[in-house]
Amino acid sequence: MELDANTVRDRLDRTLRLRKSTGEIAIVILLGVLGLFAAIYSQLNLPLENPFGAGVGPRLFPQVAGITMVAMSVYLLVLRLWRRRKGTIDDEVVEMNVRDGLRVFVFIVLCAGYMWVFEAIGFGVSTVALLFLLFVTNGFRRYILAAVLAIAFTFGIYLVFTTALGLPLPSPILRDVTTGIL
Amino acid sequence: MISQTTLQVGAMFEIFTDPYLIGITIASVIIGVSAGMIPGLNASVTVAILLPVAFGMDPIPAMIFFFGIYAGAQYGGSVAAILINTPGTTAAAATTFDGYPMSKNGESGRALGIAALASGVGGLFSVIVLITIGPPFAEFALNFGPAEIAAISIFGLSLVSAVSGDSLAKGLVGTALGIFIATIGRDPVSGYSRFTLDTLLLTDGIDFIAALIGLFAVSEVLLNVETIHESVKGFGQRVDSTFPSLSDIRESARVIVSGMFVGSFIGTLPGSGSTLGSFIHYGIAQRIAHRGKEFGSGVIEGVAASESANNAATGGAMIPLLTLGIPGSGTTAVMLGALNILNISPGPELFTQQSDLLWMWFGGFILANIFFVVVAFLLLPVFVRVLETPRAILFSVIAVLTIVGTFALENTLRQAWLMFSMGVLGYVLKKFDFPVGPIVLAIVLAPIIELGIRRALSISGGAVGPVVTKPIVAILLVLSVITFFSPYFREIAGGLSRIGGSRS
Repeated sequence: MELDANTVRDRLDRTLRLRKSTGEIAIVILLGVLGLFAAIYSQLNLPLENPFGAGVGPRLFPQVAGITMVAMSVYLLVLRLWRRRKGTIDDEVVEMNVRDGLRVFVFIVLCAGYMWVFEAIGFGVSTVALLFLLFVTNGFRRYILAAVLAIAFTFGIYLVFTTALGLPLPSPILRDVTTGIL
Repeated sequence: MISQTTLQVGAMFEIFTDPYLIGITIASVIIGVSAGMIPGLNASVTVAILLPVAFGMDPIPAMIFFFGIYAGAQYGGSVAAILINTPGTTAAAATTFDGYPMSKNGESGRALGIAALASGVGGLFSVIVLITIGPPFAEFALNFGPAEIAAISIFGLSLVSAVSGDSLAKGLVGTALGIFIATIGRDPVSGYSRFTLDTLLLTDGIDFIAALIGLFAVSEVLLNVETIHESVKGFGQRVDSTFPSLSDIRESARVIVSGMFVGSFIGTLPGSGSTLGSFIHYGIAQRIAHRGKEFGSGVIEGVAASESANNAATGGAMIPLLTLGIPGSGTTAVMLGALNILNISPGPELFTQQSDLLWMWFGGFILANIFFVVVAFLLLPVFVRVLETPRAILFSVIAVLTIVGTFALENTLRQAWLMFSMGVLGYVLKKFDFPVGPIVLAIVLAPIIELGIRRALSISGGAVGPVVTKPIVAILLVLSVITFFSPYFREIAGGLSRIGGSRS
């Protein structure tokens, strides 16, 4: 099915609404499952006693953390469901425009992509590309200025890290450039 | 004979004649004030972003740099509060009550000037409190063994109730999550692998500095990206002279002095911090100020009351961190991260074995509190242009800095991936009002508590009784229980403040 520009724009301008308590319930369920995993994993894989003498072993802490996560998650879950049923919850609606959500998603994907290629293609090229794309996708539409700023900030960050702080960054191109200049 | 303290105080003032350290202080104050102005970039976020800077610096300039940012950002928060009714930091929230109405009346310069003066005086007093209380407290803590250290850390963790916002249960589940995250990796005592899932990524655990940067900085960047298209009204307004007049100083003197004492006292209590200090003192000032009944309508004393108290809390907040190694707030947890990078263990030994460092830091903290006032008086009309920086550029550059900075932790991207994952987790949690402060505190304190308890039990042959009945341990455990329930006391204080507010 083909989408025309107006349909795409309409879809991007849609607002997603989620009751805050629904989001909270989803989070506490996830945390509860994580807690359960921590408790069971500790029980199955870690000794309670110190294997090298008196005292406690490596199980106690993670298991207590896991059990606490499960207990608090169950408590929060029951509390939210109970209050929703009784209608006593101040349940504001979290709104997010599809365009805003997409922007955050693109931001995360671009940063993940950057980390993926950072060591392979070097700091210089990857940082210029990332900054330019982040500027543009976040609404800075003066493309030439965006490119100039991306190069300038990349060069600045490289100089601060390598020259001022003595922290090496993988960038053969910038290394050659700075060696030539300095 | 010249006493040891005299020599140390002398060392403290050496910084006043060292051009390099003065330069570092000025730079850090400028960065702090500029960052503090930007909503979303409070002191903890700014220090978290810049933590990797510590790698390339010596301990003295590095910590002076962070103290400068801390003090500067604390004041910077008031600039956005006054100009655009959006506090740059939560501690400046009370400043909006009178600061913004003054700005609307065309008195922004007047409000910014008295805010700077009150903040500077409050901040200086707080360093004096730190210098006075810190050393004797550290001397007392010298006798602490593993059990006492664990008990102090449990006390620190009990502060979860103080940083949990509205819901204690959410704070507790966050604390448990933080403890779980802290246990990932190789157990330092037995060598057992915990939750590593046989992956190289998790073998050495999650570095708490990476977790700090992710949970504080990246989550805030993502929240800002979501609303990046929203323009903020009030940007670009002209600010005239920020020098406070003599009559303004005279009018505000009473509340500035009371703010110094109230803020310092509250700041010293672990977990309380500057936000609570400024709100409580604002309530008190309504009763003692000349124009207390007009608070909220643009009264200069209201601005001074909030600002002197919130900066007066900064030095006090450092006492638990420097004397015991226990961070009582997000900002001090990040400062602990800086100390960690510098291979400095805060605690009583810091005062006995590395006191030279400490006194230089105190000197830097004093200087920072003087310099941000100077910066505010001379350069603020220029700096407010920071508020006009396109957010697309600002937050994109911050994202790159967090990734590159975390890469610098061990020269691989392993921690950067974990840091960014923490950032996404923090973003989701913040969206639904789960506080990230307890997670950070737990990540920092859980390893200290676990090691302390295991060592203490190993010494006692596995018997719990002799450990928990030690006087200091018992007192601290009781205090932990009291602190845990402190939100209820705060609720009462808030209720009283609201009653006061409705009267005026």
